Amino acid sequence: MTRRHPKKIVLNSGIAKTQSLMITAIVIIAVIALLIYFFYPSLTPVPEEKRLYRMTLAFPTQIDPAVAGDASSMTACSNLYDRLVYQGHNEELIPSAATGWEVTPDELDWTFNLRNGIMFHDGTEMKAEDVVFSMERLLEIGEGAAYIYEPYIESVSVVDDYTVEFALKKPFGPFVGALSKFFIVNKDLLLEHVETPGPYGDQGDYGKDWLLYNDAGSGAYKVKEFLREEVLKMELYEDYWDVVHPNAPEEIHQIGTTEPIQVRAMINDRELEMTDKYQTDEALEVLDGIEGVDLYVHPSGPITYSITLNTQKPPLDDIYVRKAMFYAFDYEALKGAFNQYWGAYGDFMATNIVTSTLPGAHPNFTVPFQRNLTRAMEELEKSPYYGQLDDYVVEHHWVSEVPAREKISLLFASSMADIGITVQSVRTPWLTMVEEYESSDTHAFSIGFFLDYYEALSELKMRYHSDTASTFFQNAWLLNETIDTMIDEAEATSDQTDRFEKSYDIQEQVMNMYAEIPLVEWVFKQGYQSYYLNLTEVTKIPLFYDVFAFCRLIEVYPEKRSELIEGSNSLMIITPQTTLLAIPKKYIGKSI
Amino acid sequence: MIDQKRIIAFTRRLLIRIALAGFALLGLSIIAFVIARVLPGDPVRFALGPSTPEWVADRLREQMNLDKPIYIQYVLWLRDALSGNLGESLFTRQSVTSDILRLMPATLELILYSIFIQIGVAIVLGVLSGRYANSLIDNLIRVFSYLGASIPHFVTSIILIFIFGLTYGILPYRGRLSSSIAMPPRITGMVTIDALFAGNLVTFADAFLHIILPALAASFVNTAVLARIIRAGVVENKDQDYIMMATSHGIPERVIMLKYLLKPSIIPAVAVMGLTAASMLSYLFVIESIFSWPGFAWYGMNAMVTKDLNAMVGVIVVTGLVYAAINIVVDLVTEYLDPRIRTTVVSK
Repeated sequence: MTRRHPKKIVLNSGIAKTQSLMITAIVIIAVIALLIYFFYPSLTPVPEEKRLYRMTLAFPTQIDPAVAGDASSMTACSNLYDRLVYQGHNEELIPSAATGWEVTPDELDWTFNLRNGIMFHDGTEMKAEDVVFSMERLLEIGEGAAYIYEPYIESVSVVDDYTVEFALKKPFGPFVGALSKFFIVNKDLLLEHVETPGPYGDQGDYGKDWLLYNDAGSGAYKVKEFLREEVLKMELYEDYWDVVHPNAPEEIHQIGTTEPIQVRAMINDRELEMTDKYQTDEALEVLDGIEGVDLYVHPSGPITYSITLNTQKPPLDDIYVRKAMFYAFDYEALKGAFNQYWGAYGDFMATNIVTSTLPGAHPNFTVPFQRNLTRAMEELEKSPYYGQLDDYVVEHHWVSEVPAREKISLLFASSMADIGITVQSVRTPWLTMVEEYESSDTHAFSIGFFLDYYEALSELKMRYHSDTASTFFQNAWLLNETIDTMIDEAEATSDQTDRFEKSYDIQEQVMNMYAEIPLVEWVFKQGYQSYYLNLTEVTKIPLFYDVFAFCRLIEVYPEKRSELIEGSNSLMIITPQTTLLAIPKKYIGKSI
Repeated sequence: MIDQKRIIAFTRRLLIRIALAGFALLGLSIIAFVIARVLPGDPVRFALGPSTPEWVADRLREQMNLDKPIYIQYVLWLRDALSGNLGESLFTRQSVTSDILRLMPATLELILYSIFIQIGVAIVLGVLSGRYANSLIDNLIRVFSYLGASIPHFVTSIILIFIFGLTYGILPYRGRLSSSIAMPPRITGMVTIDALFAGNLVTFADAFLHIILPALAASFVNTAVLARIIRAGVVENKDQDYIMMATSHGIPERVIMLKYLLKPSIIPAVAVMGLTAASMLSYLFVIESIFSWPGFAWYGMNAMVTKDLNAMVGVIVVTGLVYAAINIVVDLVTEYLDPRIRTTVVSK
């Protein structure tokens, strides 16, 4: 009998065990690799027949019209829902779900006639009761755009199936244009999904939970899938009542990222048709260099970046100090300090205390502000603080989440040093800044914001009315009854020409208070696939807060996309390969 | 008899650990709760916007119990938290619990694949480096380790996207699935695993390829660190008497390395691996942002930036819970790997 050494047995089984484990691992890896090779779709972009329109936007997106307030949410709602009327970028009022409207002589009662045959996505028809329910719901919840209507709307009622009446507490001239942010929901559908109990009494949660992932609209698109942190997918609604271009996207994807590396990669791979507005100029330059990609430039309406001065806090409570600061600022150096692409994409120097491209902006404020140190010193010498300025340090707070703003703050400090005013640049986190705005304790702030309705009057109210003094829209703290009254009277004027004249007066008054050093009027720049997208129709009726809101008018040519992907030589140009400047002609030529 | 004693001892140790973890979590929740509320900024006003009427903000504050004294707020929060309700997120407008349950699997999936890579690569590099200590191989691996430890995650992520995504188009670099592929039915929330459960190999392949780059980016630093730790263990243990004994018996070197040397050498690495796996819950937000990977870490960072009160506390407490659970698991695994620990504890 052969006797095997015990240790050899141990060794052999040990080696065999190790070898079998290794072989098993290799086999598993090989199987996975083969599976991937045979089953995974090609990693190169697959030319698709479907007309897709994909855009990047900031997260989160709310598709409840009573909650939506940010850009991403408003874009989604613009496609999922209809509104009575909206205001275009060129001041015009465009009927939508309403065919027309009338107002009583006292301007307190507005009657809107509803269009027949507008169908919600569930197949039911829109009636006046849906409009009434939508407004009542918006005002009851109180979020989103409710603040625009709450001070003015007394009640809203059904006259008949296709007629709605709004009773106002006081006249509001821009009322119709302000309805651009009011969307109509399907009352019956929402009431089916109300959860009780909820914070709204008998109405429970008012359907808020259901509207987190679903829509109750009648818009050109309906929700297909909503992965909240990733993408909102909307598909074309076949029974939409208004014009839909034959080449309109069959699906819209709102992708929740603005990461430059991701945006660039997706544009490069033709997996993104339109970028967001928040890409840096460096990123935009790269995008512009990609074949088949161009930049669309349009007024931001408004993003005027300025340094607002607290008129209540010494030494800025003296007008001569403020005037001196106004004339001492080095506006010319601002171009270099702002960014290296100054002028290349259309940003231009401010010429007014409101954004000059807004309807109602004073037409005679056309000369860019200029530095004049002699004039600055003359004004300063008139001030009671002259000779005591060493006792004061003016703090300028800027948002730390936007590091590029530090240069402007430092430029402000160096400009003021030339006339003996000490400015300290204070880097402030956004959350802290929001809290600081509520008190009148800081000297100077810089921030941008968006309008309630598309007029200079809206900007004047947000920046100078006492009602908004403790918000981040302003830091001037004018608390001036005359200005308040002028703004209120202008808002109560329904005739646009008269209202604009009043707006001009307010601008002249406020300009003479020197409560602000206006700096730059930004434009929005977005990269898009110009080779297979045509934006001609959609930009004819640009919504004032989103020029591409109506995706049903965007033309997508997937066969052109395939050409780009497959590298075809027979390229046909659809749109000009140059940067489009959509600013009205009267403003072209300003410091670009 | 010994087995019975061992089981009783093990159970007792486990229960004590769980109780201690519970106390630690209670303390953590108090600290997180207080810090969230004393940080500057009005989260309600920030969430609603500056123009929203004050009565709306007051109503929301009332709903969130923010109008009550802080200790009452905590008691109410604790009462709800013990039943699984972590409150509502101001940012997403959904319950924090549902947000976490929805997003956590994405991060866990990323951590899981990252750990596979870390274990596999770190063991290979550590053993090679230790076996060939002070040679060219050791030096090359050392350079890799230093690079791995010093390059920030976001730089690694961008480099990977540039090379494998943009330049050569080898791997996808965004999201969890291609836009043309539908999500598999949700079972675990981990797309690769759910795809396998659904028997959908195409979806599995797509999801697997999507996770490679973010998992690589997430594992780079830890792999480098673990490789060094394993190397140190191998270098220390290879001169031990029992190794010399095994060598003198003629046991092949490969067997010695894999069978006798590896186990004791990776014990320190296991402990570190556990802690780094838990810490990944927090620092993965950079990678999740860059790769558009909607996960728990990204949610947590958003909560901090927006001062989303309930989400902040929920994220911190859940992270603490995961840390505690992983620490317990690491202790158990360490006991399994090192019989000396088992014997010592049982005899006590």
